Amino acid sequence: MLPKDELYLQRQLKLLMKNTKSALISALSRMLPRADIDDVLQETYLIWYQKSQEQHIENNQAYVFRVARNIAISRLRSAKVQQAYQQDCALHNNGITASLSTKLAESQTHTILTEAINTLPPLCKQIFILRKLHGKSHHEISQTFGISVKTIENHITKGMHHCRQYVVQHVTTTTKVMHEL
Amino acid sequence: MNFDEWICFGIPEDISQDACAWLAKLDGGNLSLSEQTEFYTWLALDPQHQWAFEELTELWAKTALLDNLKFEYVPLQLVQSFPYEESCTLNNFNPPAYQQYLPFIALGLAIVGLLVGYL
Repeated sequence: MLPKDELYLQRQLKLLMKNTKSALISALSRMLPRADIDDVLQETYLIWYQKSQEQHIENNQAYVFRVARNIAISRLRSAKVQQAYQQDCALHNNGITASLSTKLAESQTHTILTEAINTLPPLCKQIFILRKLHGKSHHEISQTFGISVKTIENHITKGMHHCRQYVVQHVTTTTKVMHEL
Repeated sequence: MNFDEWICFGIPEDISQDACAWLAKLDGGNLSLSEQTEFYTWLALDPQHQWAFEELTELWAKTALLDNLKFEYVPLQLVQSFPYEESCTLNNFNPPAYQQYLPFIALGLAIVGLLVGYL
């Protein structure tokens, strides 16, 4: 690596930080306590720097956003694992119950998503199934039901929003139940 | 397939709603150049936009694996393909011809049975 390249990267980093830092801070503040955010940012830009030394990154901002999210989530996860481990120790369980509930969660995922789609309004559900499981185009579906392509789009928007809420709700209640155990 | 338990974590409802709308629009294809620009601008505007969209795409992809739901859709054409004229009602139901001989055959068999029993 030539010193010139180092200089170029440092200049690019400065620019990148100027463009992304404040947006990242406000977004991360919904996930982590203020004290953790600086650490996450440091780590994020460091990872970007190291990666850029090795290869060209197509979209720096998108890359940095993604890395920050991943670091934040792995922090949240390890905090939770630590907490669960301490609870396990307190209960004299050696992690057997934890691995069991993880397995259970995996097999339930399919069920949750099926439930989510089964609780959609009838027309919305039919459109969803035609699109995702029969691979029909929006145009084909609009002709089948005699409705506009725009309406199909609206149904898919509504359906996805419902699925997302259903999954999030389920995931949070499961997490809560596991904490209470 | 397993959900990340942090899926959509910390992402506000309104942003998620916008992400759903963009997903549906992109899924339909045929985006104009100005719509494409609009989408990329939206995506770059806020990390939360990108996060919401990426995680939603994951969910969207996972729904394609739900084979069990595939046959919950009954195509309308399939139902219509049975012509109404040929449908069978009780009024125009004609029994097959051999049915009118059934009593005689039954009687014949009964007699044979009795004879065999008697001998």
